[in-house]
Order: sequence, then C-alpha cells, then structure tokens
Amino acid sequence: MKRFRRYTISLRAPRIAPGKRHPYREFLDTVKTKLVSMGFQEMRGSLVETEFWNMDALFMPQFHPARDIHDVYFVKEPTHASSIAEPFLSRVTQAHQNGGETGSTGWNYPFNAERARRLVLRSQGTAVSARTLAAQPAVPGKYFSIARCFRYDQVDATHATDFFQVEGIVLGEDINFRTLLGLLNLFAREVAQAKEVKFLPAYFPFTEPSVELHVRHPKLGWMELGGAGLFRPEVTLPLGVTVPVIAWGLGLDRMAMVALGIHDIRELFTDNLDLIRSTRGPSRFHMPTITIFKQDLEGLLAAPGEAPQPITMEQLEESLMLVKGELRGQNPDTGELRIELQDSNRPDLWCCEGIARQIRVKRQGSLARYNFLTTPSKSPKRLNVAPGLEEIRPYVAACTATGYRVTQEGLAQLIQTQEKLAEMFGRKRRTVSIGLYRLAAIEFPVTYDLVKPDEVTFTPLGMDTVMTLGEMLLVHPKGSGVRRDSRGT
Amino acid sequence: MIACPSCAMRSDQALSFPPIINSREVGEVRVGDDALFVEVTGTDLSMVVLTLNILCSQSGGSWRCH
Repeated sequence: MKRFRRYTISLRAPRIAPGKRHPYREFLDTVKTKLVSMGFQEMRGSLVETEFWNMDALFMPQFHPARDIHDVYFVKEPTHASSIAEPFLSRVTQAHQNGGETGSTGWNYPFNAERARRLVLRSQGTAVSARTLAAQPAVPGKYFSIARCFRYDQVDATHATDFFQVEGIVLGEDINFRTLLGLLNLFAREVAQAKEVKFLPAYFPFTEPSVELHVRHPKLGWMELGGAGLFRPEVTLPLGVTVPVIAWGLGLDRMAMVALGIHDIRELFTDNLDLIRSTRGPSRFHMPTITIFKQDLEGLLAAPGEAPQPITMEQLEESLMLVKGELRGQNPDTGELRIELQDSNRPDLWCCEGIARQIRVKRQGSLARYNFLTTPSKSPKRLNVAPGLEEIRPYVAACTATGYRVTQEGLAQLIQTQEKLAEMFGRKRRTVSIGLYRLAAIEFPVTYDLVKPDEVTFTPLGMDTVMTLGEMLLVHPKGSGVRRDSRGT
Repeated sequence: MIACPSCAMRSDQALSFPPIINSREVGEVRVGDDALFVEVTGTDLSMVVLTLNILCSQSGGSWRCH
C-alpha cells in the first residue's frame, strides 16, 4: 500500500514571476498611446544633430553658455555635417545677426556657419520640433516626440546624463498661452499622475512668454518637469511658419518617477530583477480597481440600528469572493483597501455600497427594496430635451438626491464611482456620461441642448481657465478622445 | 474648429458638455452639500437608467432620489 506524506493546504505556494515588460518601457508606451489618442502625431529625429538644428534654429546665440563643452557632448568623428539646408541657414543667420525679417533686433553678433555644422549629441527634444517646423507641418497640427537627450551633468537622484524628454508642439491660428497651460496641467495630472502642480514664470531663448512646470513628488518634494512657451517669431518665421506655435519639453524620466513611485532616477534603468518584478507598471484600465475604507464597509454591513462589527482580514477576503474582488493592497493605519473587481458585467459592484449590498444580500438571503426604482417621480422639476439630440446622444435620465450630507470621504467615493462608471461601463463616456452638481446652484428647468462649439464657455472641472467647447475639444483628453470616436463612427 | 454641433446641459449657465466634461464653476459638488442634481446622458437607454440607479444607491442608500 502506498503511503502519502501529510501535507498542509494553508501553506503559501512559491511565487511564480511571469515575464513582464520593464516598467519604464511600459510607462513610455502609455505616454505614447495617450498622446496619440489625443490626436498628436509622432515626430522622429536623430540622436546626433547639428548645432544648427539643436540650437541655432531655436534662436540660442552661439555664445550661449549652455552650448559650452561642459554642457553638450560633441561628436569626435566626424566633427561636422557637410551642409545645412537652405533657405533655413541664411534666414536663421539673419535672425541671429540683426533679426532679419522677424521684426527683432537679433543677438547682434557675427554668426558662424562653420559652428552651425558642428555635430553634437542632441541636447534637447526641441531640436526635433525645429526640424518638424521646417518640414511644412499641418496647420492646425499637433506633434509630439519622445526624444532621448544627452547633457553633461552630475548624476544624482534626480539628474542623469541622458534622459527622455516628451517634446510637443501645437500649431494653429487660435493657439495661445492659455491653451498651453491647460495642456501642461493635463500632462502633469494625467501622465505624471501628479496631485500638486505649479507654474513658474521662466525664460528660454526660444519662447516668449515662457513657463516652467513643477510637480510635487511624494518623497522628493517639488521638482521641475520642464519648460514650455510660445515659440518666438525669431524661431518660427525663419522656418517658414506664420501661425502661433506652443511648445514644451518635459522630462519623462521625472514624470515616470512620480507615476511609478520610484525615488531615484537611476532606478529607472535598473537590471535588478527583484526590483523590476515588484514595480507596478503604469495603471491600465483593464479591470476596475477601487479604493474603499474598511470602516465604511463595516458601517454599511451593520444592520440598521446596530453598531458596526469589525471584520477580520479572513472574513474580508471571503466576502470579496462574493463580488469577484481581489484585495490588491491595504493600509492598516487608515483602513484603506484597494480592491480589483474582476466582473466587468457588474458595474453596480464597483463601489463600497455595491460590495456591501452584495454581501448583505448573501447574508440575509433577500434583496433590499430601493424606492426610487419602483415609484414614479412626482418631482415638479423639469428637464427639457431639445429636438435634434435623438441623432447624437438620445437618452438622458436625471434626478435630485437629498438626505445625505456629503463628507470628504463620501465625495471621494462619489467621484470614484462616477469615474469608474463613465470610463469603463460607459466606454470612456461614449455610451454613458455623468454629471453631478450641487442642487442649489441649478436653475430649473434644465435644458439638454444642442450647441455650436464656440457658443458656450465655462471652466472645465480640473482646469483653471474659461474655455469654449472648441478649445476644450482641443486640449482636454476627454475631448480629444471623443473627437476621434466621432470621426471613427 | 469643430464644425459639428454638440450637446450641452444648461440651466441659466452651461453645466456640462456631455460626454466631454462638466463645469467647475456651476455646482461643483463640495463637502457639506446635502442636495445634489444628477444627470446621465448616453446612447443606450438601459445603460443610462442603470447608471443613474447605481449612483442613487450610493451613500449607503440614505439618499432620497426623485
């Protein structure tokens, strides 16, 4: 007779590390996808560049200190490019010497054409933009580049000698500084996932007005992400562009540090497998992951009139199975629970209330009644629908909600539910989008109306400037997504 | 810039441009508010209604929705 060894089923199985992409590579891809979905076209350029395109074309005078051997890597062999394309060389020479046709007085020095041919390792992504401007870009047009740049620097936690910049330009008659600030704000929040952002006035030789974008890293404090501004006419006119151009160059490595929670820039390129395995890539929206608080859940699970019962971790994990949820992380100090919900068919479970409801139903064995689902509305408040909407977005449902005072936590939860429902259930708001407002601020009747893009303005949520619908469509990520969709369908 | 007309939810001022973005000035919900207006727009009736219902069952069901 065969005898089996005793075994314990509660032991943890060895962890299997499946193949995955380097988190930084994943981050770069996410940024690219995001920009493309915002309607940007990718520009590409070479790592070795002439001083002309790297600096001269950007109206950086040849005596500028940043062009020094201490800041730029010069190529040993070959040292010079054979020629610089005309008419750009002569026009840029003029702009530097006396302003040429640009209305500027220039830098007032003799321009050295030999120096312009000197080969360097690209020191700023703006070189790629300069080349794009000279290649007759589309107007209006949006371009971006993820450009590796090289600068001599002392390596420390936030500085490296080579780095990625996300470089971008937007050309158009209606482009202005406001559009730029909107875009930068967006990058900081959407790409770097920064919570705090500030703008500082800045000076760059190629832009006016100029601005610096700073974000707060949770550990390292405030750091500069990069600079931006409107290209000076001394840059655009010699390259043959007559419309305003906004431009920015942001350090992607630093954005990645904030987004991936890395505290040292050198870790971005680490080959330490343990570190790579444990670094979570940028968040992808496959399955909804929500953050709830344990004490909320306990409160919601308590029967009316009874004190909440603390639930143990084992009970929690067991309960989560009822909602196809998996605990992804927790903070015992705050009671925060990160739960990934693996049933995309049940959007009603994507909030603390939904999870609690499901658990209660299981415990009680019966469904609770929700009156608003069953009784017809007697509300005197009216929502009028303008004709013509049946062609575009035909359905609307609305209600007033009273009897609950919004708490800090409640507000965060409400916004989370709104976002998850609209993003994932509503297919990025295409099939369902949601508006929540303070009732006191609303004048009834409310009209669901058809408008022209420039007819109505307001300050969008999350931004600081008043915009028309047209402007929002241009800069707002949600706007651009919609525009692409409407073209596609 | 964009030629096609788009939707707007407005009372005396614009509240939102569904499905793009909501206004910040008019009626941004803040801590302490005890009465809200909720609107859902969309291209599929059952999804719109379901979404409104899910939102209404927030706040532990203590909301009265009309």
